[in-house]
Amino acid sequence: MTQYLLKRFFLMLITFVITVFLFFAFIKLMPDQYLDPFGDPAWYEALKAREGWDQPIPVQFWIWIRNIITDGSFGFSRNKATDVGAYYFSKIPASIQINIIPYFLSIPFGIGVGVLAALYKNKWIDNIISVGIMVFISIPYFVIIVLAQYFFFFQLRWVPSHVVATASQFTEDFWWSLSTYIMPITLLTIVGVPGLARSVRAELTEQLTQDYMLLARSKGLTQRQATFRHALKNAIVPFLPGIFIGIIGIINGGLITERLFRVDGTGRIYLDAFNAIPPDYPMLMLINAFGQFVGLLSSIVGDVSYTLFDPRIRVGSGKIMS
Amino acid sequence: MIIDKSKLVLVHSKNPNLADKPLKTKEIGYYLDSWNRFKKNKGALSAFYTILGILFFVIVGPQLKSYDLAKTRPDEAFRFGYLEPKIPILEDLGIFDGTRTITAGKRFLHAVMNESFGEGVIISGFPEELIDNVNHPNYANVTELTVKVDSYRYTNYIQSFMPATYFSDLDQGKNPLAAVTQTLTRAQFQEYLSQNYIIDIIEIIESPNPTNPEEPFLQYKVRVDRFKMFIGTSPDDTYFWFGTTRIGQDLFTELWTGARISLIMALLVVVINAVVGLTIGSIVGYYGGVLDLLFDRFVEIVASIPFLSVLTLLTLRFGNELWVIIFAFTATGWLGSYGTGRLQFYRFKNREYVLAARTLGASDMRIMFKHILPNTLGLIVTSYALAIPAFVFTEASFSFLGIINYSDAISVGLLIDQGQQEMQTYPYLLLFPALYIAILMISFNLFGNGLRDAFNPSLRGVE
Repeated sequence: MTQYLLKRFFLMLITFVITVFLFFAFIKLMPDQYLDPFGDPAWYEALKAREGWDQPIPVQFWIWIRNIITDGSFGFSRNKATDVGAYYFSKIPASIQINIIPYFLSIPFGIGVGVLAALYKNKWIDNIISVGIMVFISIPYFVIIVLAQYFFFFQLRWVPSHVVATASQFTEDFWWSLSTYIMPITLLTIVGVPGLARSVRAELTEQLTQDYMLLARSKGLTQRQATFRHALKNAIVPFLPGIFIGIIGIINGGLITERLFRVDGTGRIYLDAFNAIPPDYPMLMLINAFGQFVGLLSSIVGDVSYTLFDPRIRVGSGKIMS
Repeated sequence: MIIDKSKLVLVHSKNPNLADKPLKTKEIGYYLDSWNRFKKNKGALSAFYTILGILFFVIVGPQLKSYDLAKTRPDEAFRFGYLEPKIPILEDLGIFDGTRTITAGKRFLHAVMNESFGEGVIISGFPEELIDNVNHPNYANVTELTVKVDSYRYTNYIQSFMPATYFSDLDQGKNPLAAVTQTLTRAQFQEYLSQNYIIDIIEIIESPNPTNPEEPFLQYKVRVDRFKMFIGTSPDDTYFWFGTTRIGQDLFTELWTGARISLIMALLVVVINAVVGLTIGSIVGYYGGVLDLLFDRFVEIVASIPFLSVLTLLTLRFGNELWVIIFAFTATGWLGSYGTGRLQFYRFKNREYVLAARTLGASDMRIMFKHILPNTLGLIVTSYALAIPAFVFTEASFSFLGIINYSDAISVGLLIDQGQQEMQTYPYLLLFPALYIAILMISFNLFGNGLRDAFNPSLRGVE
């Protein structure tokens, strides 16, 4: 196990360094990369020397890594007039805040709806659920959210605001600000359910027809007992790693979610950096590298959690999925 | 060995002792069989027809209206912004009839009510008492009223005849009609008169002509009917089926133009991904060995790069040209069909029929493309039916965020984004693009699922 983990980690590190270097080189090769001097000349020269702007790109890459390790500095953002790392990581809590509750709510709902549909397969409950799943999976979720904002706020006025409260509004009126989170959380939960529900339904449907279910029924278990004690466990195993991966993904935030609800989180930073003229390259570099790190980390966590949840899969016995 | 077909004869026509009859029924091949299965799936079939309908509009939609003022005269098109949707038959039912509820000054609305040019502008909501006497005591404290207007006539009224700021400008001593007055030369005047554009003449300014005192220079200050002049029809005969945007573009045309680009891109991306991925996948899967190991590493690295990074970096570097976006989508997109192709070839390469073909001396190429590929095609092709909606979904998301931004068309995602910003006052700007994408995605997913069930009955109900 340890050996396998080390091997995985080592391979991940190589992939990580290669891809991040590709990002770095690509960004450094951008035509509008070099700026006119700004700020105090002496300070500018110091910054230039510290980030090695007059060095070849591989050396700059090395300097970039060295700065991260020695001073925790990810580069200086001219647009934000601060170190990009400090700025970016300070916004992560806001992103987590809006995403984490819907994420954890949507898992039990998703499994529940999926189980319901599988148990009543081809009955009216299943038909309704299947149609609902189809609709919610098909329509891009930002369309659903935008329409909900229109109807529930601008038409019906059921909710206090169509966006979430800002930090200053929170200090002014805490309860009102908290209530602005009701609609985003409900909506994000709803759009998170169908994907999981569809998979659970498909998997459980298959498990319910297996021989061990017949055995369970013949030894005297009711349908309900057999389903929840045996079939459901087997049906959920393929999705547990995904659930773990999703938790890591929350750190990354969601560009669309944050834009829709005007959350002051990491997604907004990305779009700001992208839309600035010239683009905020140090920030983009950090965000891409961080996104890459999170992605690779989740793939390892996914692999390892497979072996934790499913004893049939043994670690180190070659490729797991192929 | 090739035998001439005419030399082949059925045995039973030669031998009278054979009682077997040749089968009279029509042969059902794999594809006909799949089609028969597909036809039984009502949802998928109606989705198929819906897609055909959408494709029809995508092809002819942008050409249906000849209105292109927003491109040729953007400064004038601005006047026709925010016209409500008006659809010929539905307007009699009271939906999409081009009406809007507005709030405006009492005196202004009173003037609209009493001017002959303002006839039919206000549909309802204006109190009876005020029609004759604007200072009616019941409404002494009211300065603004909310009324329902015909947005086409109303727009023509404020753009051609009397600006909504008329009375506030009058109170401040400004020329209240400045925005709607046009100054014409004699030649222009004659032309406009013959085209019947002119509503009325406010003033004729005469200045002496030094060379020919008999014919002084004339300047005509007139009000012109903007609808007649730039659209060519009266407000009542003007139909913008989906309304107009802020800058006076016809939403119907814009929507289908955006849809056309995104669907063309979807097809291109899916085809490129399929060809590249399948070719590499089949070669790697078929030959295996070191090649497979090397490619495995390579693919692992490429696959780990988030699509968002690829797209943003490429668009930042190369702009928003179509090929950049296609390249971004294919850079990591081919991995999907690579995986499928590799797996299928890996599975089938040791089957007996492949061995038989090899024994007969078939080349690797022939085995791969003549024997293995057709066997895997059903499974592979159906997965692409679902790749098109997946592309449309991603493209709409990123154009909604403004990361994809075509230079010559507004993509549907961007239309939704613009609609979201103005949904409070002009909900139709959001409703139509949202409805389009919802219908498109549902139909494509239903169709794709139906196709998969039809081609691979064993997979039915999975997912």
